[in-house]
Amino acid sequence: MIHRSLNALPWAGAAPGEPADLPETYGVDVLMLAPVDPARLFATFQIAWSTRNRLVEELGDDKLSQCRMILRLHADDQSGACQEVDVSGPSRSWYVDLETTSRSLWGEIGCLDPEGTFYAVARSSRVDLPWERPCPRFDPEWVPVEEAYERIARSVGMHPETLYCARGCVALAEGRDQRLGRKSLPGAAR
Amino acid sequence: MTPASGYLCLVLHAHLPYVRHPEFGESYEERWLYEAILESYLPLLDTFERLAEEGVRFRVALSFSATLLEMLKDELHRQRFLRYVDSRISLAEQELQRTSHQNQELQPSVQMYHERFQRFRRLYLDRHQGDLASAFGRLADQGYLELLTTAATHGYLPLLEPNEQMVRGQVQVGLEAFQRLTGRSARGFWLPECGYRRGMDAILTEAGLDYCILDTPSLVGARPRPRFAGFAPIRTEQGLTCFGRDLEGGLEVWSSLGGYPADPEYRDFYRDIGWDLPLDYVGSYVHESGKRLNTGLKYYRITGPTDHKEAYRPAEAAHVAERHALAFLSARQRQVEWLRERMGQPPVVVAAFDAELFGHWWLEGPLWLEHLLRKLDSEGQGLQSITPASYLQEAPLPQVSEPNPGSWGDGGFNARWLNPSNDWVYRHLSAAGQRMVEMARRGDEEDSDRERLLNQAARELLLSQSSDWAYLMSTGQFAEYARKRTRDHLVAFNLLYHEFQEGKVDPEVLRNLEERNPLFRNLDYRAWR
Repeated sequence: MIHRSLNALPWAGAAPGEPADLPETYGVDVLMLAPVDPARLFATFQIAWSTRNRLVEELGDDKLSQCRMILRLHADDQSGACQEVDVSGPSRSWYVDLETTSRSLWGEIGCLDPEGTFYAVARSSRVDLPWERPCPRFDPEWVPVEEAYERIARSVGMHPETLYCARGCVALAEGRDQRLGRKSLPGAAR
Repeated sequence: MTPASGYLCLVLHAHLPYVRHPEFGESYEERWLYEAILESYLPLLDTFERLAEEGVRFRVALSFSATLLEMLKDELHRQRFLRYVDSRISLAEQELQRTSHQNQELQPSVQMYHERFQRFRRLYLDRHQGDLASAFGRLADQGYLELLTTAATHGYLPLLEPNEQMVRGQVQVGLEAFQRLTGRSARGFWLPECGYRRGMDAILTEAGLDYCILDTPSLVGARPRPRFAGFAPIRTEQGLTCFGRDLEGGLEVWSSLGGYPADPEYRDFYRDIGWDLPLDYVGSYVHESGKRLNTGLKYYRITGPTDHKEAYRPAEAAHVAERHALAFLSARQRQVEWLRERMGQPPVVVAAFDAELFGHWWLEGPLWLEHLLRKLDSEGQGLQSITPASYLQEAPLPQVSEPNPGSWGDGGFNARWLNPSNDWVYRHLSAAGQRMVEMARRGDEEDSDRERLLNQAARELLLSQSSDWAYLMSTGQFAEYARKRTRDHLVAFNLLYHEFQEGKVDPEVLRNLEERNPLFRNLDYRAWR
């Protein structure tokens, strides 16, 4: 499942809240990936006008209009898994629910023609995702004191193996936000 | 002394984004600093100095951001802060008059404010000549405090691109400014928002840092699974020791439902006479524009969950603060006893908070802390206060494990700083980051004007990266200001980039930008290579 950012925007133009006098593009093709959490990735891209013009020249207007803009997310491991996301349309910022369990990914964006040929435009750097759960692997010289894990889990009201998305973390954040949300200092606590 | 059954490591993080608006007689956002000085930093300093003078043995780690230190040293801010305090004193005097005739149940609160404002003014000006960094530094020299610092402008490091160069720039400039403004080197680093991403440890150790503070889930999710969960630090392969913030104690203070600061007896933050009293009465104490703002004078206690509020009773609230300090101490003692039995070594419980919680929001927070430190010294029963660096000297070498990326934001990851309210910034920050690396690599060291230009570009980039802007956009509070600041610094950066590309320097533009944000005077753009 993919979610278009609320900042859906045409390729030319500013997102809601985005100052209109910042550059629309920076003259280069860029794909940036960033983890939102262990299961969701943010992708934002920009494609230079020169690249768009080149694609028009190479493919022609008709063919280009039949192409779909595709984001490919490759697992950076032995699995070779690839998740393909159709990002055609006006938005250049997307939130992607990940299908892979790989914790290291890289992406590329490009045009996919109806025959299945992919014309890559930009490639991201590698992005590391957080793990969702405590690690099952341990060092035999450092055997985990499981009760300590259980205590943390109990204190925040979650099962140890789901500690990662602990309600406690949310409660802490809510507590802070409730106080800080109306305060006059911006503060650092979140 | 009783052998330690466990350690309580108190860490307070003091940070505000860089705000300086000499172009205005008054700015809403500059008040963040003045409120924090008057309501948090001075009360905390007062507390620590009193404890030290009375011979109480305590140790607290205190993190100062470079932006905050720069503002604390800034003569414009010092003058404006004094003006702010004097205006609070004047308002309190006026209030003493008013409440002597009506609302007499409010008199104890008014007297408390009047006394506090005067006392903290004396502390600031007479005792420390307006130099708070040196005042805290002396407490560090005496062994009571351990000072650490954070990224230069509190950039949310996991989301900065290209990450290695951006993190290095934030770290190097932050450390240099800390050294210059406090006269000491930092061994510890407060990762902004406890935000960690793989690979950052190498940059921190390369900069000479020994340790950082992470949220507990970053330790609990570390690989391999740490033996002691979050109750002992781990060490990365690069040699960076990572302490985990304790969630259990954190909830006792921070929870919106049961946290100590929500006690009905404590001072209510939201009822402020800046909103309660007629504008023609408080007008000159709010803002020159006539817009209502908090004045800092708040006369009611939390009372309960409704809008009905009763008069604040300072003496009763002080008793509650003492009771809460004892409860916290007792809970930590039980916690470390329980853990020690199972761990076979003294656990370390890291209680990490924003410094601005103490006093600004939670008026009684400094008093709570004072009671806690006193009781810890006299009745600790094996629970000892410690700082991270002291712990590293006393404790066995930590287990090697790789922390899980995360933050102390809601959900434990990046969502607070990366969501539809603020995600537009990353496209621009990333592009600016790439451009900064490009310029730094091409920089001409022979040409002083171009060097100034490159340094100013780096300064603008740093200022645009402050985590506060994305946070404020996310909460909707001061969102317009946050957008404007992000935009202004990016526009300035891009202007300088284009000048660099064209091989020219406009001296007037450059001087204007330098004067607008006179911080990080020793910044060196080469950090971004």
